[in-house]
Amino acid sequence: MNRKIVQSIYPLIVFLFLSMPCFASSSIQQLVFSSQKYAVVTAVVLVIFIGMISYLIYVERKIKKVEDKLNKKD
Amino acid sequence: MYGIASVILYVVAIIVVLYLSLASQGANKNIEVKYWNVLFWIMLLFAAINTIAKSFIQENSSKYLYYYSLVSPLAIILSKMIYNALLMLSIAIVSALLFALVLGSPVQNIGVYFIVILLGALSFSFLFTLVSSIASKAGNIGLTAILGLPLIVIILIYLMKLSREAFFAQTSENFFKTLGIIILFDFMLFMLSIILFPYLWRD
Amino acid sequence: MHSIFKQWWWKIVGLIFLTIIIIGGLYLPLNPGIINTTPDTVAIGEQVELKIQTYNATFSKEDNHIQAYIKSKKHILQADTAFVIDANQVAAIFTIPYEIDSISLTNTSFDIIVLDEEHGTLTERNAIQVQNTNIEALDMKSVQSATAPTVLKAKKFGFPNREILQESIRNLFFHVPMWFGMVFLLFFSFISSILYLGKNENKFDIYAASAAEGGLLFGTLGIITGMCWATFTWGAPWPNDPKLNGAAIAMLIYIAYAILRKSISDPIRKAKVSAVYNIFAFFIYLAFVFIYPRLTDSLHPGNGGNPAFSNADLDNRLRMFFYPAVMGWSILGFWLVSLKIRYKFAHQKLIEIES
Repeated sequence: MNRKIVQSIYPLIVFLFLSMPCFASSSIQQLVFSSQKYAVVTAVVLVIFIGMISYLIYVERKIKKVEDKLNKKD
Repeated sequence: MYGIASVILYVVAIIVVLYLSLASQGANKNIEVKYWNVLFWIMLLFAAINTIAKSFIQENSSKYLYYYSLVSPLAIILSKMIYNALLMLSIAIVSALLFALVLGSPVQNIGVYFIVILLGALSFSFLFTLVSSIASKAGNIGLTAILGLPLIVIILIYLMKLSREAFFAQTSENFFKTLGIIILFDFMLFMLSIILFPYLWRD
Repeated sequence: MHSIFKQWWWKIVGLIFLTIIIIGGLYLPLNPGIINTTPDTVAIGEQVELKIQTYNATFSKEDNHIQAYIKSKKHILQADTAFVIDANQVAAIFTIPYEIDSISLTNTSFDIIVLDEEHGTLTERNAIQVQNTNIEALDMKSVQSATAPTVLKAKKFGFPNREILQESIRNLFFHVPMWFGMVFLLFFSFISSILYLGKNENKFDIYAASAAEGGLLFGTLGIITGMCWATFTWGAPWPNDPKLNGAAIAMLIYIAYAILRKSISDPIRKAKVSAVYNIFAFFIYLAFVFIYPRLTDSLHPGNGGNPAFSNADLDNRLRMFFYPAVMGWSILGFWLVSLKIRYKFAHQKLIEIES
């Protein structure tokens, strides 16, 4: 039961974690504006990268479970 | 008859709660038209969810299963949709009258308002009938709200837009465009419902 | 269909596209543009030297062909002289007349235009404001409006330098393809659901569920990256924009789909019921993404009745990278989904062996 709750909260945590760069402090905002907003591009690429990698890890772990079970069968 | 009476009572109870809440804030007199409109449609939306969600509730008893095996799924969905549309229409008319009674009515053009209410009743009934059948097949009537609310939003927005037209004596030039969009939506929902329902029913 | 998920060629094509757009999209320079102009207010009748700070330009002191103009809605005025201070700074001397074409300049705001052969046309909108000071001291001179300069393109390759967007225009290759990827994946899911209802084969249910999950991933990334971009361009993470609201509702629809799948235990009933909901939801999703934003005013380009990606929004240099970006990210999405599909098949086999 506990595990299920954690699993259902997990996407929310990932969502909040990923949106952190957007709500950075105002000093960081100034930095972004001074560099002609290139930092926004970096943040966006980073978000996509982290998002896709975490999805890959999620699938990877599921595959691993199946593999472990199959190995036990053999 | 018991069903209809309970639904009407439900609507009356909601309106009483709404009126008392507004009165406690001193906002029941001269309520702004836009808030009147939003409150009306939101109330109607929740009344629709609560009413139509129950339309497949008796489906599991064996007597009904026997009835359903005799008639085609098309007849079932059509009759359910028509019944729900009539039910929603009567709820909408009753609640519009009650709204006018306790909060005053901003409606200037009753003909247009009746058309909007009719279209609203049709959209709610077409959408929530299929969604509630999906929810009942999933074995959880509570799913109707979760599944249906995101789907109804766009139609609800256009219904609210269209009903604004009824608050003025003259309709604006956007009237027929919005009307066309809603009719198109209703037609789409109707076709999807009658095409998809038989697949859901064959078990 | 299943064997194509195990093949490498399309994944390699996708990776090539992604390499091109990541390297090109992040490293190719932006066209020169104007950052700011000082002073930003001028008085009527005054002779004023405007210092124009540019970005990414390479002006040289030997260059004598720089022209500078100020432009309001009705008039254009050419600078008396324009000269280079350093590589990114240009100065222009204007004599602000009392009237142009017998129309008073009181409280007019002007765009500034700087152009030469090498850098093309640089503009900053509403760069200077004419103030009404000391009217008695002026001679009431009226001048003729100059003819508009022809718009030149920069000679070097660079992405367009737009106001407000600036360097963040590169997000076009990262944020926008998320939505295209989402549409493609959800379309795949929709087709699979139709095929499931038609053929009753279990594999189509697995395709539909996995593709909807992939679409949800892309939508989430699209919303987060969109919030990042909007914070620094439109000033708020969630401006009330129909495209944003539509995207959020689309996410809710497909989260509801996932919840529906979780709540049914019987596999055949699960497949059938979720296929019906998926088909029903996709039509409304289409309405949200393609019809609803076009009927309402939006901050996004291509909305409020305009077709998307007209020439004004997207020039050829952006297109060269935008289409590969859409292809590359969508292929990556299908790759992720194909892994999930293969996992589900393996999982199913395992259950069959166990029972």
